[in-house]
Amino acid sequence: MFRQGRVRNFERVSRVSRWFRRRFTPAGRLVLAVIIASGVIGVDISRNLSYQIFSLSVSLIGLAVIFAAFNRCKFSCTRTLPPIATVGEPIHYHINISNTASKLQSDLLIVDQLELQSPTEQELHQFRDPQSVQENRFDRIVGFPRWDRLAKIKTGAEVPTQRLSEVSANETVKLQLSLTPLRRGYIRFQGVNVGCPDISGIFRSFYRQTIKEALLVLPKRYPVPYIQLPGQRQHHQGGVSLSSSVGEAAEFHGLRDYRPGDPLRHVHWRSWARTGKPVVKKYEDEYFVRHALILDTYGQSTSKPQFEEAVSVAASLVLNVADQESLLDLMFVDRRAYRFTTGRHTADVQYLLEILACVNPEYHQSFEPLAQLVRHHSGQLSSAICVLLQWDESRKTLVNALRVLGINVVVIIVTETAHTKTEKDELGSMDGQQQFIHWVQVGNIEQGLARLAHVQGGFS
Amino acid sequence: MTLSRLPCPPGLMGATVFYWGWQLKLWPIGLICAILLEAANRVPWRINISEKQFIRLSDLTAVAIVVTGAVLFQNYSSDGLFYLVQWLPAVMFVILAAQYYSENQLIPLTAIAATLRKRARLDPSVANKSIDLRLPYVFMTLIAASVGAPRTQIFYYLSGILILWFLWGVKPRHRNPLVWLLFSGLALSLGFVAHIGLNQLQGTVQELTTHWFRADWSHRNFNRNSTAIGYIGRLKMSEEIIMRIRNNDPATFRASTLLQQAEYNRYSGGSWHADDRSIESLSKQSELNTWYLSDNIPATGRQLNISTYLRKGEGVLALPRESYAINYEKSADLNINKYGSVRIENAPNLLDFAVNYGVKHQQAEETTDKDLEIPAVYTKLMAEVVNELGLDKITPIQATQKLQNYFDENYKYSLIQDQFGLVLSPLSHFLRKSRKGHCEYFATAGALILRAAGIPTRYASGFLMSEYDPERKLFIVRQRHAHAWTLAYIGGHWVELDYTPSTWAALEAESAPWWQDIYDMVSHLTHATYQWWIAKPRNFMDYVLVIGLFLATIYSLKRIPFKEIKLQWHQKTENKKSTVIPGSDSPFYKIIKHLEHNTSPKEPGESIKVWLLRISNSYHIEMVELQQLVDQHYQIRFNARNNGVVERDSFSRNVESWLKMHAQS
Repeated sequence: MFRQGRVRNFERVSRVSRWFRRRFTPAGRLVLAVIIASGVIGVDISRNLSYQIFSLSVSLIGLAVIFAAFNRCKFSCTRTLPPIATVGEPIHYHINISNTASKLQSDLLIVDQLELQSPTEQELHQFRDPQSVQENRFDRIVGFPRWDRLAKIKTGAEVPTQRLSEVSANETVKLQLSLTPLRRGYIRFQGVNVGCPDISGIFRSFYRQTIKEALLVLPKRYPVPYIQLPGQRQHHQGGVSLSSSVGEAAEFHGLRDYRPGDPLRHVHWRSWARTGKPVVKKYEDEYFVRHALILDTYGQSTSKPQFEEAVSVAASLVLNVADQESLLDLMFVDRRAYRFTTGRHTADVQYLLEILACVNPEYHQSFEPLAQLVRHHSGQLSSAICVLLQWDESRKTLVNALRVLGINVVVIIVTETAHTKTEKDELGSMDGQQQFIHWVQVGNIEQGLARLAHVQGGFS
Repeated sequence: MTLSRLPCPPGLMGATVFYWGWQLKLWPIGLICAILLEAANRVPWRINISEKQFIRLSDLTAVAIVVTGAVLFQNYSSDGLFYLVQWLPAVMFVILAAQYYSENQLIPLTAIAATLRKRARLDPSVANKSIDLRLPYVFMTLIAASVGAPRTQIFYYLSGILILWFLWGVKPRHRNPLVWLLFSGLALSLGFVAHIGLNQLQGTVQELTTHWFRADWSHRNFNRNSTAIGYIGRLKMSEEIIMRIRNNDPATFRASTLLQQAEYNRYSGGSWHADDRSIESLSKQSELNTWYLSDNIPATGRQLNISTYLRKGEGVLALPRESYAINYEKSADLNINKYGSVRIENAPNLLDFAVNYGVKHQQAEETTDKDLEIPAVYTKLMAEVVNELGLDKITPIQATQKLQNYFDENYKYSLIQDQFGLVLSPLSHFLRKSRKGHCEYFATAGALILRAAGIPTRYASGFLMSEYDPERKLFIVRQRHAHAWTLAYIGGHWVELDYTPSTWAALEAESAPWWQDIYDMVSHLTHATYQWWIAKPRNFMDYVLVIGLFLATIYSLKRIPFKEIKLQWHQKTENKKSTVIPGSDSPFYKIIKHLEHNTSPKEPGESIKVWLLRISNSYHIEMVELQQLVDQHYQIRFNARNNGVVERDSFSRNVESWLKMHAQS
């Protein structure tokens, strides 16, 4: 019964609390505390005179609210955001505040408002909060601090309020604000609110300016040792179909006699003049080595942190692999199967990171669509890195199929719990070859990835 | 990092503490405390108090609050909580003084609560936070003063001045002081009107609520009972539980019963008196542990188990009127008067006994002429009422019933007494004008009217046993359940007639304060502990427990770091001298002072150049010359050796000339 509608109540409590914190200055909050204390103690006015303090405090608050309604302050605000940010890395940005009123304003409160995202009951239930160990029993039972932290994570960040001592008439002040993104994806900014205290300094009126902007937050990346991916051609068909330049992308190979049908532009005029018979330039199609980064997004039995770490691992590998002279296909399923290619004039590595910033876990489908996508493109691949969340039969089948095709495979399994060597052996039993399977544990990802230094020899 | 950034205006703390002492008529204590706190801002002495010592002081303060609260609650019931609030400034003075005289004049946040200490171990940011208790203490002191202050209008104005003093400190800098004064005056006036309105509202609410006056119930005098008839104002109530009663009869286990303490037969001057003052000592039948109150023992009787407190082991017992035997295991002296009131002496302070009662044999009871006596001042009035109702023309049973209907239809229950004026006596005012009053009015008026109709009556006082606690399966009798009723002699027996409107118990139950449940819980706990300690024979483990608690208290007290505090005095000024800031004597500070005075002050952490750039736009200050001076100042300030780059004398001259040039602007 207690849990029914608790999320809605948490939202209300949070909204009211936010309203009080912004509207009342610290002095105003102290006066409110006095109202509560004197109200409780002086509820029976025949006992003592606390009700007189109560009356005066209520009058002060009441008048301050009325005076604040007439306290018209006018500002013009602009925000300058960096193009991208990274989870967990603090960023600094600026807000320019111009006082367009004809008089000086002091003791201002600047609130850069984000679009708030409230968690659902299900999300709250699934949220595993490492900070809950710090909570007392009451907080753990009620769950409001946990909800609050989850709401901040869903919103993306928390921008601390800033105080501005004064802005003269027609003056512009540049304020530096900072925030630390708590999740990847877009953080949406709504507007800038400027709070001006009333004459008594206990209640604020607000000037609001809507400035809607979005900041893309990339996944967290870990240092990954340089991985030398094998690059043999493996009889690939075709060349680069997504070349950035128009025309044929081919490598000069030599000269040969003209055969009917050869294009005139391939005629080597100087050789024709020297030999007296038509000679054409012979080209060899350019084949690039193509690697695949396969991201497992099926999260039915996985936790949110586990999925987030898998995305971070994928992002770290993207940076590592994309530096090499090869193409990299990122394959995953988010509602439907996707394949994005980068490298060699196709797209920048930034492009894949932005995609990874927005990828979501898939709760409803089976692993099969991703397996189909990989199988479909397997003919073009030289090697594949699979970032998996589980190690079950369907995943083993896919990896087996790739290996049978002669594709070099590295499997990175992101787990939440540490597995013993025996367990790993049992879970990873595939033809007795486990060298290409790497287990990395949530909370210990960096050390886990550092072990990939041995991967060069790990490709079979 | 400091949680509270609010400034405490100079002098406010001292003024508030002195005000508190003055209102509590303890102005020397208030004055000493005020001087000690205010002196901290003037004297250079500081104490080096570590975080650990603050934690100990905080723990000690918490223990002091709990112990003081427990003692006050035990002695004064719910009133004790108000006394606790009144004395909080004194109890918390030590921790506040520690803050004032500490190096940082702040208290580490971890000292406030054990949960914060736990959190600080996991989150270092919590460990670095500090809190400033000054302003919360100011307001707590103000509320404490309001609890103990005499009811005078000056309290409002002086409290208002103190609150506005605080608000002056937080007034936005750019606001016009005159407008602020207007605002303050308006707030004071509005607050004044509001508190007068609250007074009137309380008066209206009082008419809808009922309360009972607090009386020394166990020491009721069974020879004379002064009533509150004629008392003007509101009778005080008390929630104190004085009896816990278990009714063992399954047929009537939830039935309300009147528990009589005393009965009187003569009314005079607002008091009832028992004319026959003779008392008789009762002897215990040892083998049965029983005192028999009467020889007239019914064939079938009922039993109540009563647990009640006595003051100094003596008091008058509240018993059902038909009681005939008291069963009590331990020794005590019991006396009974002519009217059946039982007084117990030499008993423990917590008395657990059983009383047997039931309808006695049809044996005529006594009555005297005194039971028909009406004070001369009321003879005419009572005769008028009797004639009006025709009570003398009907049978006594019909008369009692008719009078009951008359009171039910025309009178209301109220504990609020109006002004009576000079013409009517309080009882006449009740019968003829106000037609409202508490049970003493109804019982007295009922007794005198029936006497005028020729029916012998008496006045009985005691308690109504009506509040049943289903959880504990017992009746709870509080002080506010005290009651008075009429006894009428009809058919050779004294019959209980309760003319008070039956709504009184329900009305007073509705007006129970919000803390009643908390109070009850503590009261039951105290009762159980008391019962365990008093009623049960002591064994070895009991003494071990008490000695253990005593030793734990001594151990806790020994943890207070008195010696360490004494040893660590050192002079604040010495510290200042030991850290000489290079370039702190730069002449440029005169320009900074001048500009801060005339323009916007420099923010903490804001560099001089950024600040000058900011104010140059707003106040149209020429920057070229200033820029050169700032560069020279930076040389003096940050290039400690100066390397002969800046010549002090010429720099001073330049600064002076700049100041001279801009002095008028």
